Amino acid sequence: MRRPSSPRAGWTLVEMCLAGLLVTVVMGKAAFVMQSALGLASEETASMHYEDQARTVIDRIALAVMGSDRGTLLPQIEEVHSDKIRYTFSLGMEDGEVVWSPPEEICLDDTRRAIEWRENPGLAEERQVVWSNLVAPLLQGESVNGVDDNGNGLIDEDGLSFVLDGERVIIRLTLRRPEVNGRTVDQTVERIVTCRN
Amino acid sequence: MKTLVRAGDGRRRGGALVFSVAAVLVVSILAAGFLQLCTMISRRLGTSSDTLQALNIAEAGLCEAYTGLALAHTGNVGSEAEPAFFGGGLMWVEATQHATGMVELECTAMYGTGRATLGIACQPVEVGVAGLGFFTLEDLRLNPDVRLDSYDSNQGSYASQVNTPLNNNGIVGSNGNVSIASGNLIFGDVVYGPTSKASVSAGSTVTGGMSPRAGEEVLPPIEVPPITLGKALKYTSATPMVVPPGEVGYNGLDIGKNTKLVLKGPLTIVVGDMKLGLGAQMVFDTTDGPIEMHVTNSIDLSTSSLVSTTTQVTADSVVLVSAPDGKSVNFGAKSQFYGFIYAPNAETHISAQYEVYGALICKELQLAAQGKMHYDLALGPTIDSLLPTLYSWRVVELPHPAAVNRRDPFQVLDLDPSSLPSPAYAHEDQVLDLRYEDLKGSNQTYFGLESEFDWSLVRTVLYGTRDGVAFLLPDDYYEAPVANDPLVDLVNSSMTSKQLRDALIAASPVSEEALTAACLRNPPMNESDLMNVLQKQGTLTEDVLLAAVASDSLDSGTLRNLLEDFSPLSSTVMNAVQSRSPSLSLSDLLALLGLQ
Repeated sequence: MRRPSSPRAGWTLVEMCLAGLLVTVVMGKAAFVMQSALGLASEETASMHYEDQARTVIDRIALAVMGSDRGTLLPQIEEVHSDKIRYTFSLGMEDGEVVWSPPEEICLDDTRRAIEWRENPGLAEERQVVWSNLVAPLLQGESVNGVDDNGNGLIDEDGLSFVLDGERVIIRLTLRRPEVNGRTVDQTVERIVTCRN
Repeated sequence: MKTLVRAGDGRRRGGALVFSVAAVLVVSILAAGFLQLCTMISRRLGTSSDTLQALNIAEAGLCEAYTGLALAHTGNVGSEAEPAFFGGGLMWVEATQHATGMVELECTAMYGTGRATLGIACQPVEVGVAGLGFFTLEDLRLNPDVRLDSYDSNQGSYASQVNTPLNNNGIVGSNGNVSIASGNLIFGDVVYGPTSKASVSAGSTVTGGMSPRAGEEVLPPIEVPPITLGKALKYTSATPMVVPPGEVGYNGLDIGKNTKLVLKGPLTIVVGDMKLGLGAQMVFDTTDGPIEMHVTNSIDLSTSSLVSTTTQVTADSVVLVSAPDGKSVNFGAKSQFYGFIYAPNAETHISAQYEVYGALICKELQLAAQGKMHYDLALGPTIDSLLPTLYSWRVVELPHPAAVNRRDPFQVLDLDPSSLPSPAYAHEDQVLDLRYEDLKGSNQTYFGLESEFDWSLVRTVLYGTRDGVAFLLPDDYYEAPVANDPLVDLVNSSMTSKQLRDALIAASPVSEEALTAACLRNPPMNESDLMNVLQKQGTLTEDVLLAAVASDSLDSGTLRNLLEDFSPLSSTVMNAVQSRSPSLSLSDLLALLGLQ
């Protein structure tokens, strides 16, 4: 005996098409949302990473300058920016006398866009460590035109700049991050420190 | 049939479940991602700010220990086992003394996940003995009519500070007894030996406190610089002898009659026997630098000789007498000497005409009657002058295992923050030897562990040591306003009317407060004495005239004579005259009214 067929036993072609379309749209949207969110998270993470790197680098520079002897800082010219600073700092005491470090230097290597820390610069026993290789050639908002574009009182300052102001040293740093789409994102940090020695 | 229908419905509901699960999964993944992101952000921000806060706490800890060294503390503040609580975190400072006298301080601070250790190297400054004022190792017996007071050369000349609070902070001290003779005016404190006493004769005045010192002062020996001494020189030329800046030594230096010696600073001069003859002059030219004169055997400045200084910087003219024990040295010259005389082994004679502005420390002092010495407060200790010399500051690698653990520091060290002391109370315990003025104004002493002393009982520290090392007084101690003009204290002292008259005339012009006090004095001044004092003043203010009207010293006729000199009088004074009791005689009153 043949069972009577139900009108709802299967989907019509239209139903199938609609269902498929809906599933595709929903899945696609979900995938898009996920991709966007993950991309955003990834971008944020990367941004944070670079900001973190900028802060870490400037903290290291700031601590080095704080512990330096103001009288040994080079260059000694005040209120003019420089992309390098040379200093000595206290290593502690030995036999009741203060021991000072050999000269050290923190400078911007324009060709490699790197911040380099050097011990005994220019000597045979020189040591170098690169602290970051993402430094912008110029500080954020600045361009080479002989004008103070970013309004900080300095003209055409580099991505790493030191300005001596009495006992204070103003340190500015811009890291530049290349984007996939060809854009660049700058991270700028600034720190003002006083030489303790 | 029913079963079949149900089975078909169930399959469709399962499809919806799949979609729901997928959607929930997507949302969960997104939520987890954002949660991780937020956690990472807050952790990074937290670590950064915690590290900064730890650095700040470490700097504060170093500062506490550093200033503590100036107050004779050891430099140790708290410990890893019992740190100090500050700024929401904790910290401790470890001090290391080096043989060279340098002190190394290392402060470790922990705040949240932040850790920092900073270090400094510094050299504590020793307290100068000049801060003792006028001091003798042996008993101090002052001859009559001596005036010992104070001023602050940083605030101006002595003359500009007479009868001001700064004039009232002299320090007269001894390791033995102190005898104040009749007519002595001591504007300041008298500090006698710990087992000795002070005696004050009638007619003398001490405006400050009198108390024993907590312990005997030990005077440091003089280190004579190793300068080769030239042969003894007797100089008699009419041309002044000029000793140029630098270092020079003589076995003897005898400046003959009516000749002149000019010492030009910066100079260190060592002389075996120093003598100034009749009419001779010695000039300390400190215009370009200080002069340190070492006298190793004797000094004799004859009464008709003259000693002068070209500047009034008392720290720039220093005479250090390292004469053998028991030797007497004689400062008989006429002088207004702005400097410091230090003769820890010598009996020192100072004539009445050798007026010292600065400080004098010696074994024994014979200060002639009517002698005057004015202690320069600038030679005393101040918080600034005793701060250690800072040599270096540095960031130290975290030395403590506990500091490397980045959890909450109170958990790491198993400490209750509420039980930890603040940095000021976390200094290493020491034996405190203290003389102080309590809240009721009485002088008190304390000797014992500092941890057992209640500092809230102290209004003013007068003197103190920690582990036997004297610590400085608060910076504002010398500058603290004194309630009364010292001359008001003088008026209210037990001086006789005649002595008071002489003192006030000598100090003229005196302040309005002192004149008012003199008019209203009880017992009253003699009428003629009071009139002498009032007439010595150029003008009298309304308040002084009112006090004169109310004075019991002046009778009707004398008061009329006084008021006539200042007529016409203000209505306030005239009202006081008319209501005076006892009233003026009718003729005196009419005479006064006629002048208005």
